[in-house]
Amino acid sequence: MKGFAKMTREWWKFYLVALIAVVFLMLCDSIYVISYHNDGYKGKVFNYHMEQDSEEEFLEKNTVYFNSGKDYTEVVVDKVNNFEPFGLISLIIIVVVIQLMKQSIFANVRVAEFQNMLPIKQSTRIMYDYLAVLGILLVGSLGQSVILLAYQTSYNHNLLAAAKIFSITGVKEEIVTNANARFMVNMGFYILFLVILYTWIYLGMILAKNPIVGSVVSVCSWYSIYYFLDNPLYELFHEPMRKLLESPEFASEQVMKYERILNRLKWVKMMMNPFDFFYSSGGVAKEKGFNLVDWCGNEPEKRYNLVLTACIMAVFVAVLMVCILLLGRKRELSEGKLFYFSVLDYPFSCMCGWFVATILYEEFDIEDILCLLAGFIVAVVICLLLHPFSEKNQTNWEVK
Amino acid sequence: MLEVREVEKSYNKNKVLNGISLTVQPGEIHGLIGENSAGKTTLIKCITGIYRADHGKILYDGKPVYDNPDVKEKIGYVADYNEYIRYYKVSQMVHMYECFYPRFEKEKFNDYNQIFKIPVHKRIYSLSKGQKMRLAFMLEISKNPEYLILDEPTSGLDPVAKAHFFELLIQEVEQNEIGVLISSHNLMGLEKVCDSVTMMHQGSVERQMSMEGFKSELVRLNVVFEGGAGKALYDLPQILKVSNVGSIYTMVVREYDEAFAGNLREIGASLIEPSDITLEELFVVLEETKEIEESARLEKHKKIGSKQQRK
Repeated sequence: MKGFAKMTREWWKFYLVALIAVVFLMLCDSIYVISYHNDGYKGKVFNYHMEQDSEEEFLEKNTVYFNSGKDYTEVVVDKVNNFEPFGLISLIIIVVVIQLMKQSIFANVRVAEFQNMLPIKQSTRIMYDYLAVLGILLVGSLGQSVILLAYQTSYNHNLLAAAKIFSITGVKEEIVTNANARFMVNMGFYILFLVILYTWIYLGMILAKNPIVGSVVSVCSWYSIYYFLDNPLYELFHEPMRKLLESPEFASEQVMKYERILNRLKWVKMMMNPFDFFYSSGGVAKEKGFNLVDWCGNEPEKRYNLVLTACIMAVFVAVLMVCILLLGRKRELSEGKLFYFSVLDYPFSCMCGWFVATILYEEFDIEDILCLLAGFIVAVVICLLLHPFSEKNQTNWEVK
Repeated sequence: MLEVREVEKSYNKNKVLNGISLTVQPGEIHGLIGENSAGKTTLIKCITGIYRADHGKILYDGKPVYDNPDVKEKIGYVADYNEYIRYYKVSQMVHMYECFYPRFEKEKFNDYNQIFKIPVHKRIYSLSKGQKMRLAFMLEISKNPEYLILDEPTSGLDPVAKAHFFELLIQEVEQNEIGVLISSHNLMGLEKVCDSVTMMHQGSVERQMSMEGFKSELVRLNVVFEGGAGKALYDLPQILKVSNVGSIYTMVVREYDEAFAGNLREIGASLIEPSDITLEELFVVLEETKEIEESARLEKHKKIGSKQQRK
């Protein structure tokens, strides 16, 4: 705690500015969401009143709004899946920029040495930076949740009140609690998703000597696993092998093996996105006779998957945090050229090769064997450039 | 007491330090000398806890230094090239030190700044190398450390600043009993302040003794040979280096005693005048001797190799 207090005395202004930036972004996003997704219930009710529609006619026109009330669930889901103007991407960008600004100060070897001389434990310093930005991220996300939830609740209460005034019987009281429950569950998953992604990026940053390289590695590896783990892996390795061996029986045997492996690998991908995990694990349960996909309602089995997802994701974040703590302790300035641990040169080179191969295959429709060859060459070249194989390279870390 | 015990350090597979041991007592100024790439800076980085030693122990009053904030609070370190947070003003750096080091005294810093005159509103990137060195010295001294580790502290300093630096260093050691480890190629400066010296060569300790012991190891002689010295002079094994201006020969010798003086007289020396050797001369002579011995060894190996080939 002594170390945290010292760090706070020195860096509080920096993090305060970052917090203000994130809160401003969150406010902009909330205003955008509210104004863009405003359905104008008052106008609709007023029209109903003025146009003297029958209740049936009116409900028929506005079923969507009046049966479910205002619900920002879709907004939250869109944040994960689409590039919203102030959504996930910009929040992650600003968080990464804050970390880069802080970490880049110490990217120079000499300044890093000065930092190592400070009377703060390495793990304390690393966890402080991680937790400070995590706190900012949570304040921003929770702040936005509160604003949207408050607006949604007030809208739905007003809707109920208007319905009562105009005696519209089709609007049920549960719309407030149901919409809020859906929103909160999705927002919870969204925040977990942000925390996982941020932790993943930070892990990359503390492994690399240059935080920019570290964040690029993290984002690329996340992207590779998330988008290119299953189908491209299958197609890129299985298809060339089938062509080379020209044995349909052997190929079909391999397909079964691959499918087993891929089914396990898909869980890795699922761990990175609570939404995916929730639906996929619900799907698995459904196959076994349980319906765990719906999250509204009070049945215990419907809540089970929700709690399970939240717990597993939280455990995943905790594991990543422990990794940060342990690796943070082990970092040593005199080790490696690009990473603090020169053994990371190998997986990094493989990942770059895999990234190039999948990008060529997916985006440029180049033949699978050529993609694999290109990926292999890239991996070898990067490995040769980075890893200190020769005596000459061994002291390249020392930047004078 | 600062204790370095059998420390080894490699960069990947390249061994840079090989079983280094030394001690620095409170109130002692210990010099660290050696040729370039001898491993002095690496040793200092291990001693200051910037690097982790692969083997061996580095202890301050019995406590390890690596990743130990309590010990690091007590160590001052002036690097050969000091880089702080580039866009910080000097005053912000002072504030940073106040935050991290409980024993930092701003008044002491200001007092020193009366001498070294660093503009506190200037940003770090706009300071010259010499100014950064002065700033580093002031910041580290104002921390009131128990041990001060200095790596080439006079590089970039003008003669006046150098003089101030050594003066203030001695004053600090006398007043506060701090232990100092100083690595420098400015051997004249070291000679004036050091109590003991460690000489490093290729990652190992070559010699380690008090300054007096070091200087008594070799002697400089001014010898007059009327009519010049013959070949016999150069055959005397105690002589490490000879140069002459006319009939006056200046030589550096080891194990100077009456018997050796008698030998000189026998080959025609009319006047022998011994004098103290400087640390710089001593270092140069030892390095040159090592080079000669090394090349003789290589030559011998070559000859043996070619004989074996002929066979």
